Amino acid sequence: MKKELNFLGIDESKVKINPNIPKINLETPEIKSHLSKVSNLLKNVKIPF
Amino acid sequence: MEKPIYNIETSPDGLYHIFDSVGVQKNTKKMVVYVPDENKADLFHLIFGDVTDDYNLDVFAISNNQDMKMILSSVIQTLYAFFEINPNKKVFFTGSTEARTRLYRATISKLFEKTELFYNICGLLDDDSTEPFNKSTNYKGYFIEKRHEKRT
Repeated sequence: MKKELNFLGIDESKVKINPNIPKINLETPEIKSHLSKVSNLLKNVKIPF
Repeated sequence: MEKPIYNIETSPDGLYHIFDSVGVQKNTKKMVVYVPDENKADLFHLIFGDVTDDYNLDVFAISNNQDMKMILSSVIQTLYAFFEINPNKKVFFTGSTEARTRLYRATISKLFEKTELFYNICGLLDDDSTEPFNKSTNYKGYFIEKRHEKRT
C-alpha cells in the first residue's frame, strides 16, 4: 500500500490500525433500507471483473 | 503534494474505519463500513455516514462542515486500507442519495488517472450492465477491485 499511497500523494501515516474501534449497529431501519436498496440494485447485475 | 485527509483509525479486518470531520462549529465522527453482500461472494458494500451518540450510523446526515473534499478523500483512503487487508475482495458503492452518487463520480474522476494503475473501476449503468469507469457517464453505482500485477 505504501507504494500506492506515495504515488497517489497520500500520507500513509494518517492511517492507524485500532483493534478497539466501536462496532456500530448495522441493524437499524436506515441501514437496512440502504442495504436493501443496494441489494435490489444488484439483483440482475453480473458482477464485473 | 499530499492530498489532505483526516487521521483514520482502521479495524484489523479492514471493515471499519473512523475519523473526525473537523468543522468551525463542531467536529463530527464519520465512519466507513464494508458490509459483506448476503448473496454475492467476495462482494462488500461501502456504507458511510455520521456516528450518532448511540453508535448508530446516519447515512443521510449532512454536517455542513465545509470539508467535503477532505471527507471524500478520506473515504477513498479507506478503500486502499480495505484492499490492503482484503486484496481479493470486491467493493460496490453507491450514494445514499443520487446527489451523493454524483459526488462520488466527481471524486473518482479526479483520482482516476492515477488510481487506475492499481484498481479496476466499473460503473453500473441504468440497464444493469457495467462498463469500465468513464468520467463523463452517469452511473447508479461503482464496482472496484484491486488490480493484481500478475493474472493468468
